[in-house]
Amino acid sequence: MNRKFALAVSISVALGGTVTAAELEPEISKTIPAVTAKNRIYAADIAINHIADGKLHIVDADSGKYLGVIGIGFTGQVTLSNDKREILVSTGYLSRGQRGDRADIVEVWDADTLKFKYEIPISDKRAMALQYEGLMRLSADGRWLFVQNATPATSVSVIDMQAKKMVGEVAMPGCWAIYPVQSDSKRFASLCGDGTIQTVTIDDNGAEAARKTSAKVFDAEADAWFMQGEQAGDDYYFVSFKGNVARVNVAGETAAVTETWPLASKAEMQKGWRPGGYQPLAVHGDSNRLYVAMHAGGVEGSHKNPAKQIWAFDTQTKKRIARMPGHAAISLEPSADGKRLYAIDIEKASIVIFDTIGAKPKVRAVQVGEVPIQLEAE
Amino acid sequence: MKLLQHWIDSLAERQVRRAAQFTGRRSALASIGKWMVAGTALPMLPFDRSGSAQAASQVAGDDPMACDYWRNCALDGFLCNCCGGSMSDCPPGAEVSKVTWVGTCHNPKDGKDYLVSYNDCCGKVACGRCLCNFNERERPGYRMGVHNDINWCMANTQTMYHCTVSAIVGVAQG
Repeated sequence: MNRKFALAVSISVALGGTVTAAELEPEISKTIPAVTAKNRIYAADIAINHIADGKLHIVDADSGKYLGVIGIGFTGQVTLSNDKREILVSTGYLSRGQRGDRADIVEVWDADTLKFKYEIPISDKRAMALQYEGLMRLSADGRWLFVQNATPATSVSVIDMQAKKMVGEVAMPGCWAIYPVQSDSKRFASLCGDGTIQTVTIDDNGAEAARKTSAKVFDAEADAWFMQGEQAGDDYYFVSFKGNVARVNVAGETAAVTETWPLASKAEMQKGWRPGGYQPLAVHGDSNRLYVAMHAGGVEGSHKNPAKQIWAFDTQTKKRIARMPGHAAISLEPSADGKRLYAIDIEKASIVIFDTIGAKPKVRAVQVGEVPIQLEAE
Repeated sequence: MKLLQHWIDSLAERQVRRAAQFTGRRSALASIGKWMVAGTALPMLPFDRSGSAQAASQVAGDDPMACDYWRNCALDGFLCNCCGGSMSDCPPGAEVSKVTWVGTCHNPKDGKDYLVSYNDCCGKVACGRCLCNFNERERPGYRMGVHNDINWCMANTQTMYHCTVSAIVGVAQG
């Protein structure tokens, strides 16, 4: 026994340790093969301070563990395939990062291995916008991918996901966002600035075949609708800046409002309780639940303010069932089973997981990225 | 044109047209065709990470370096005068956007409402300083001319977003 070892032994013994502690085994690094978590939350991050380099954060809703990240480029939009096994990103890259030639593409990633699969070149008219789920949507059968364009003239690129090719462009002057029809994969609706809804039907080649315009259903000056539409089959729920819910059926040639109702009582309206945020509405159709991010003292211009409270409603009775803590939410998303609610706390750049719904919910928070905006859930 | 008629009165429209000419966007507008848009900033959020909780919803300040400076009533992005530029000029090396959005902001000093053109400055990496976000009369993209969650460098050859200026167009009347 040399002197150094004797000293180490004596210190170890003095500290109450054992002399026979096993040495750590050598390790060989490998790649974790795949994400296996069943309930995943996806949060798209604009990363405004270095906007060429947006991110999609992936978190396990059960454990709260951060599972991985995918780069989504410059103002990339994100949607999941209908079977949730693929992540679709429409984005653009400049050849020299901050300058150079622009290339716009749809990327397809494996949602489990988080590996890149393939890409499809698309028009560089792609809207370079903040992440909103209505700016890129798949048809119900997964055949057609619709991508919002803005030059700033507005149109929609039509991508055939079977042929892996962009096949058409539908002009949508004065209209914005894409609301696919569940029962007709060749049809989508869009909100227009004159308060109407346009419904476009494409043909087998992805070209426009028909277009109808609804009556005026909202007033973009007096009480504009948020562009977020929460889908429940062939219906979409919208909410207005002043807190009126509208349910719209988009199945037919012409979209129609089927019901409207206010979120707040007259007294609450007088206190300025209004919706706010970027994805302020969450609807879970099977459980008839609707959640809205609400703030008090609302005025013209407050429509992106974070929540002071999250209000939960029953869509059947139109009654409020809970006023929940706001957690500075700007975006909401229900879990697939409807039992949880997810939110983005913009002040803490965190995903908030509401494990229970009610006035005093059980809540966990996971910090992600910098400026997460859009939430999706598996 | 259809869009414009929806969001701005005829006098304001004339002023927006003039703004477009001032900023040299004629050629871009010609290529845009039926569009007559004025543009602006990129996104950001009505909150203050410095800790003073939620920002006010409307502006009324007189400090040009502060987010709540009155001209910023619908500005969403990095203030160019924080980034080496000025209130109305882009920083060295950045291009003025060809399309912009004109907001209408109230100047508390003279009591008048002004049309303000929010040009993005383009072609350089995001400035990253003085991020502000106000949304008076801002609307979703179906009113593209008053939408600020989009990169208004979109019509430039170099589309990278750097920062946003707020240039006076004229007094808003009616």
